[in-house]
Amino acid sequence: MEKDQQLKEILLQGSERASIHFTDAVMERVHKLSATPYFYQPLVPPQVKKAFIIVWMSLVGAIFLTCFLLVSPQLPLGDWLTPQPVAGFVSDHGYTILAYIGCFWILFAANLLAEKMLGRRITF
Amino acid sequence: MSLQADQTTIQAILAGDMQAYTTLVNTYKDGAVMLAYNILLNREDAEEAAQDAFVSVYTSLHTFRAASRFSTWLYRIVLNTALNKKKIKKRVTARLTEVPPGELPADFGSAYTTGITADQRKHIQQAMRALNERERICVTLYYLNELSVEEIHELTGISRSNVKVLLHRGRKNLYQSFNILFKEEVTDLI
Repeated sequence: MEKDQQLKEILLQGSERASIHFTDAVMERVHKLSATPYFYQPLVPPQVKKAFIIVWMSLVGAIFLTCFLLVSPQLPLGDWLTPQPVAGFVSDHGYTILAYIGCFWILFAANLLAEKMLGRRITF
Repeated sequence: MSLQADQTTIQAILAGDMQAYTTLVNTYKDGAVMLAYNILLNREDAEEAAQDAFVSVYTSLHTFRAASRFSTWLYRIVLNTALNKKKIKKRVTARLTEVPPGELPADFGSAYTTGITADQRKHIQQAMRALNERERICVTLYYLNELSVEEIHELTGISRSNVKVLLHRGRKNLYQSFNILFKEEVTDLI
């Protein structure tokens, strides 16, 4: 034990220490890091983004409306639209879509949990 | 720094207190440089690696979970940074800038002066250089960074029994080197 202490003393005396400017150099780098903006520069101006959102919402609305019209034979439709039965579509693709949505949300929740607990994202 | 003091300082840093980070750097800078130096065997590279590690620590401090001592966490980052740096350096510059074993730079040890002579420092460093890398890392972590065998195992991934073997071998080799290098001088030191 005493010999261990002696060895420690010798090694400590012979070891390299940080230079006198070490802390200043680290703090300078840390300050530079803090000054760097963490937000991303937007790719498009806010007005264009707003326009994109409106167009996107209109498209989604139009698709939903079209779907609604397609599955409602009671509604008066033009010749260009033929009503489709819902049951056929659901039995063909419904479970696939549901499984896809389910998997997506399970993985998304797992990722959030892992990020919170481990501090990193899981990439698949 | 005690566990409690470390926690208080870390909380202050996370709350935006930069002065607290200066305190933390001042507390651990020597330990970080010592460890990096005993991996890279070059003073400038060791300083750079230790600085890089402290910057990494600052950016990822929020992920520190206090499951282990802060020093163990910090030294793990220093160890990885230094080993990566060594790997990159080896790949890029081959052996062009490496100092050959037994030959030390002219300004060796000039940055830090204690009661011992430059010659004695040189001999101690030579004895450390004579160890293989794993022995040197274990000896540094145990004697200079004051980590326990358990913490060294946790940090390096080397098994506990292997850490003990490496420490034993390192100690033995150091005593042998000290006997050869400065038989009389070592007794003056201790």
